[in-house]
Amino acid sequence: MKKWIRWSGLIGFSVTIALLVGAWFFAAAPLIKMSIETLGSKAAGAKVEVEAVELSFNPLGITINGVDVADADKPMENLISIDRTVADLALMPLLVGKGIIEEMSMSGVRFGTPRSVSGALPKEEKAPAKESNEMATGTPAEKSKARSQDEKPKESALAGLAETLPSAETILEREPLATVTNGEAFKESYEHHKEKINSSVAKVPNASAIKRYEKSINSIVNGKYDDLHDFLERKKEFEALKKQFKADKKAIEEAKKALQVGKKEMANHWNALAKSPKADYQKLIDKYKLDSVGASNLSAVLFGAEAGEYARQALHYYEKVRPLLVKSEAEKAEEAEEEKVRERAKGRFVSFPTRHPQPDFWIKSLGFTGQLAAGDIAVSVKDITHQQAITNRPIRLTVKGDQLGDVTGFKLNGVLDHRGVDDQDAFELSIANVKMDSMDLGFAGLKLKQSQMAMSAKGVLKQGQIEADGIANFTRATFTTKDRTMVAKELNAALAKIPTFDVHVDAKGKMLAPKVGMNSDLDNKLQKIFNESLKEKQRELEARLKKRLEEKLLAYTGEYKATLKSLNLMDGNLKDAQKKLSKLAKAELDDYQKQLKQKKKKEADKKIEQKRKELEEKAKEKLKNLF
Amino acid sequence: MLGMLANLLKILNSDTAPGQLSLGFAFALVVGLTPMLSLHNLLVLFLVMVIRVNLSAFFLATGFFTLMAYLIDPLAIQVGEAVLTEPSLQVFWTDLYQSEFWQATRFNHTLLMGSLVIALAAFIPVLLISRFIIVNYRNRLMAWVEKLKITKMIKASKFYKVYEKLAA
Repeated sequence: MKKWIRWSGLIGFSVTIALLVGAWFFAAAPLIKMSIETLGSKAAGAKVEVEAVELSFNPLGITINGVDVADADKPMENLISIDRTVADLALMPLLVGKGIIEEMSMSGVRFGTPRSVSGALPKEEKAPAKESNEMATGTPAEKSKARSQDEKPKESALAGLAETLPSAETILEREPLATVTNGEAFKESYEHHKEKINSSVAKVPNASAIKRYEKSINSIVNGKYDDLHDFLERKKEFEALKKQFKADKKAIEEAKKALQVGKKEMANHWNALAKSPKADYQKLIDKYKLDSVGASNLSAVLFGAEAGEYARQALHYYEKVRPLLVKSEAEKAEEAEEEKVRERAKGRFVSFPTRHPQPDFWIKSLGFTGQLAAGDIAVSVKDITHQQAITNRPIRLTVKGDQLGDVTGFKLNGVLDHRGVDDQDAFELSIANVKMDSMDLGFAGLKLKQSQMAMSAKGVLKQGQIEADGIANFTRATFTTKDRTMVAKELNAALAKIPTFDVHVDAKGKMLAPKVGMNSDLDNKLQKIFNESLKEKQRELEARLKKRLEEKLLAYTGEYKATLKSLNLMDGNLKDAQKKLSKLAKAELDDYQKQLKQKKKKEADKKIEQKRKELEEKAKEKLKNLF
Repeated sequence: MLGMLANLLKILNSDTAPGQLSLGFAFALVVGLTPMLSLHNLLVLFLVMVIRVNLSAFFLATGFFTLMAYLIDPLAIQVGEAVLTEPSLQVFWTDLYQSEFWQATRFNHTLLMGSLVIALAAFIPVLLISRFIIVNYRNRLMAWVEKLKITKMIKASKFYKVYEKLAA
């Protein structure tokens, strides 16, 4: 047996193993440092620098000193600086290439510290930023542009509010009015028909002409004919007059027709015009008053920009951290493809059910205290891995802060669940007792002079979509304004009566461009106060508007009434003229033969009478002689 | 190639015990066929170093079996797949999988398992056959091979001389 044992071999084996371990010990630390710097820079898009890496064996662990991660957007600033990181490694998994860290703690964690040299990567090395990242981060100029674009709706909203109570004259000048439109239509119709009626009426005989006709008719039909020639002359004149009457009657008919058409059309325009002031008035009153419609978006106007800015910052950091924690769909697809290739050429790992599944990389517990300007925050992250399907545990994040400047309490819980089924990132935020001082609301010179705010919010990000809602409760709020405008004064006076209010915000849609809604009981409260204080002014405005609209209507009305009067008069005249002409036309010229017969009969009657009188005289003489 | 052949002749023609040579070949089978950087190979290396196994035979055969592995790998993967997915063995594999040590051995990898099964199955046959060949070679063929021109050419080559010096 003894001859089969090679003691020198045992020594050789031991020495070889010791040399390998020693080499690894000395080489590993620089290799790890290089890996962190190279891979970290690639992931962060900016320089990642490590001061030193130390390894320990009992227990197996790694200590990383002085990590600076530059901010890709601000190369002269560090996104994060960590003085010291200590991680306890599990040995056995490390032998199979799995980095399992039981516990990792960090100290001296600071954000936004200045750098002495730029942290930007050389351009050719810089990976093209993803569209989403560009939108979320962007250069300062882009940010400014984006901010100004975001502020545009606010400006227009503010402008809209500022215009709530302008003068009646301004409103009437600015707004398209049906009164004016219909008035102009009426005027045009009037001008058109006036011309037409006048030309028709001009052809109608006037009163003097009719008198002349009467005179002529009388001279023709009255009196005895001197002789036959006289009769024929009169007859000729009489026929000529009758022809004239016929033409005049036709002219009168045409004039009457033109008058009727004109009157009808003008009446239609008039009816529309008469209804216009009422419709205009209602429309203007609906638009120019601080009722529920006008005041409903006031909270969005006052607090929208701030809420938007906070959300933008949160998404900015989320976008930065997310790729480091969870794999993108492209990476998953790439890995699956790689796995397929590996399966064909090199076999595969067969997984079995286990109580202790182990991914390639897993930080079971990470804790650190971050130093912010406002104070310290305690951050705890559990189960950091890019293979959550193996651990079957989502990444759980907790951020806590007490006495952070004006904030009494801050708590953020996050669950990044990418286990393969219904992947989503969910967050819950609660902020207690934020002391707010001199917050510029950016409208009407308004400032939230001071207030206490408590906030709670929750959100879910799923497949690039966000669904979030939150509520901020403001208490002991006082406002101030330096503006002297009526709106500023009214708003300030109204806000002074509202010490507590809630602002509810919800966001839904694409993660980087969600549809944001904001409502508040402040709107209702303001509406109530506005309704009271502005009621009188509203009434004044309404009265002024009504008056001005009536004046406008009157301008058209006067013209119309005068025209209508003259048209009616004209209509009457035409009827008279028509009547008279008809009467004149009925006049008949006596027959000459008949007149001669009458003359002879008259002469015969005269002779008979004369003879009768002579006979009577004779009879009287005879009777006298008898007695 | 010439060096390998010279080395083989040198080993076979030496007075090393046939058992030590055949054991070297057998251990080399395991290291050569299975993925090199595996935990079980550390054990094999330990045994090779501690037991009086002929190291030259071991390293020579390791090179040979590593080349062979490229041909055997597809078969090894199939064998590993069959073994690891065998329903009757699932409880056993699952029990092993609970241990970090056994996970560190990568036993659940189809190539490693398949190649290890093949290597272990062939271990005893290789040990016995190679011993039989060595013994018979020395008794019957060594003298004849020594007289071959090619053997003389190899022995006359610079490489063989250098090798001999180093071996001495």
